[in-house]
Amino acid sequence: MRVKILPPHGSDRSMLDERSWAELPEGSTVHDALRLVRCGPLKAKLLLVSVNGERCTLDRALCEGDVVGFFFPVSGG
Amino acid sequence: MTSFMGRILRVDLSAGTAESVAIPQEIYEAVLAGKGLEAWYLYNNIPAGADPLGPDNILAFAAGALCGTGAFLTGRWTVACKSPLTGGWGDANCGGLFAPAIKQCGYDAIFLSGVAEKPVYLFSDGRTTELRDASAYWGLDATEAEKALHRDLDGVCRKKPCVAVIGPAGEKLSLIAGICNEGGRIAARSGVGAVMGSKRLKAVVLAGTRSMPCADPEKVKALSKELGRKLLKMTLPTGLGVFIGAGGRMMGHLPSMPLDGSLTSYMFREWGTQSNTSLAIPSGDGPIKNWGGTPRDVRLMDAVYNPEHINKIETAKYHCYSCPLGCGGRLNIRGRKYVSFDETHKPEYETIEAFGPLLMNWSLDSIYQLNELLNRAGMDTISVGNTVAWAIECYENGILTREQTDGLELKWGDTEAILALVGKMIAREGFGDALADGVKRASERFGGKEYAMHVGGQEPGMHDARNDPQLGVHFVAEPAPGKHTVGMSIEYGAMSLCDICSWAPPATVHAKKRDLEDTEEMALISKANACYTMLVDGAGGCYYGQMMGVHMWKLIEYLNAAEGWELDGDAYMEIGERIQTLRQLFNVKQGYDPAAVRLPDRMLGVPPLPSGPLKGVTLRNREQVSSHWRAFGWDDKTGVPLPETVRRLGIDKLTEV
Repeated sequence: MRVKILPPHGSDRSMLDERSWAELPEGSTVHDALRLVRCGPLKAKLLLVSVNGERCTLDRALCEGDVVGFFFPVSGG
Repeated sequence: MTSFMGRILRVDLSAGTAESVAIPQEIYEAVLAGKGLEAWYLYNNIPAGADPLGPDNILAFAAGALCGTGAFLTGRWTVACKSPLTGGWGDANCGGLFAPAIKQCGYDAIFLSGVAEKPVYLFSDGRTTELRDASAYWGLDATEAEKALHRDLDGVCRKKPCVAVIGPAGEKLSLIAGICNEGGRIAARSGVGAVMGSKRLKAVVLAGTRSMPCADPEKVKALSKELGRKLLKMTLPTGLGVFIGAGGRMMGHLPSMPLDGSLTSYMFREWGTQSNTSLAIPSGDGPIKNWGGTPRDVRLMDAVYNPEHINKIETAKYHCYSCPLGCGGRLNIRGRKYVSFDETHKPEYETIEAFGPLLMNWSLDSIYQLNELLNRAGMDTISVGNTVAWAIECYENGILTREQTDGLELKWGDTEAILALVGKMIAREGFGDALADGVKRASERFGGKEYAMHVGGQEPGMHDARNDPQLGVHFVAEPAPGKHTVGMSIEYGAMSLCDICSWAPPATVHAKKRDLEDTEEMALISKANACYTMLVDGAGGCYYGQMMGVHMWKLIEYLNAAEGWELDGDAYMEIGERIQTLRQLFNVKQGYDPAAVRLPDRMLGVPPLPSGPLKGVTLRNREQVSSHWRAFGWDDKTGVPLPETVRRLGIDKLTEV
């Protein structure tokens, strides 16, 4: 299945395509996605890892088309 | 069925007439509603060379395509006209309940031309539409006038009316006046309030109760349910606000990269746009000391403007129509230093930045007072802040004397002097009268043009283009220049437009200095950013929904469900491109010269800052703007849309009403 991973600064993006999508086996979890980009679990928890905009635990199962993201403040207003 | 009402209200204030006019479906298919409908109508109906403050100018109020369909974050209304500030396209945008009120009267938009003989207000409830005497309200501030209208119409209408109203600034034709609704919310930019004042139109009062159509309400509802579930579950750990300043320092050193924009809604839900202040001050995003300072000049000011301080005096949160997020709030400010009001809206980031770091002012309490004063006057805080900053710098450098400033000693950070000067600007009294038309005109009269920060006549929003060169492109190339609401690169990184648009480049991880380069890829990014924002405006969407990204706020799915269409992202981006090109054609028709618009040297980084996160940065803005125009199919030297582009977008076939 394909999931989009938007990892925090310092992660390894070499397994992602240019649009930040990656191929993962069926049944993969957030933890597997983190392993793919070499992002440690502690860092992921600190940066409020989420799937499709919902904060989640690392054992959350992923589905086709999911977006794995991390909290990052964006300017605006 | 689509989501459009299919009609507009056309009002001639000189003749005192109003008529309902049907709009062909193909117009909506070409430009949606909101800003798109306004762009099409104003381009066709304002004669070339019209006086912005004369009868030929048309003032437009429009709701977006998705308003009233059940789609979340689609309660924005857009006011548009020929801007008296820039001489070109002008628009401003606001929330609250006014957008659905337009549609509940049976219209997608209201267009007002002419000049009334005496002060009037437009009343419509969908059955009765008439111009009424407004002499009892003329002279009242925007909040007082709205309350008086509600009091006088109590029991007369089938529902509590929604009111868009000008304050004294608009009445006195201040070119930096806006239009207010709901107790001082304001569509502030482009001098739209002056145009309303020039028409002697005090208010637009709407009390319709019609239902608003939607092709597939169940599908829209399902999309909103999914989004709402996520948004309502979002919380941040308590007290996190104190760390925002540290986050801002970190941001100043991070590369550009793709982000998950959905999580920004945590911040807007918790604090509102004020969450940006403590980020902006240390990161280089927020301008300091009239755009000439560095974070070192205001060391630790991010702690003063930490949003947690503001949250402590918040008495209620409020939401715009169809918004589950609620970034607005009311504050209890009674008894605070400098303050003469009991309460105010939570000041927006732009206001805090414009009266805080930009002026070296350390008093948050004074900003509450300035916020309420200007909201009631109906005056743009961005423009006022930039103009006061110019005055202070001119005074400090001997260009202005104490005699010229009516005895005011204008110094950086002098809160009392800032309050006094703003009071004079609102009243158009003495020195303040000269400043009430913005910084361009003030500097033409008194000198100090090198300290006058404006782009094409409009004061820029509070984000520094040296920190975000892409925003600098839009400050210049936007048909309404100087606006901060189009084209930020950090938002591009958060939106994932590459997942809906085949030609939008993916955001990449790269050093910020690469954003200074003039490349085809950067030009496509700036084009995609502008096209998507125009699409959002046509839909009546909120920029904070846009910022969440296409996977969270599913605009394309929303539009297809609401209109019964099956268009892909590329087709919708072409609608955005058409709206933007129409706005540029409007400028060309009105004699506005896009190639003459420049960033001030200071904003370009000429000379570059010697220290801080923006140290050594000089923009290549002119080259990047040319490439942006080329990407749009506009002449890369003049900014004029090319005939083949006009044909490709079908603009030549869009007929007049």
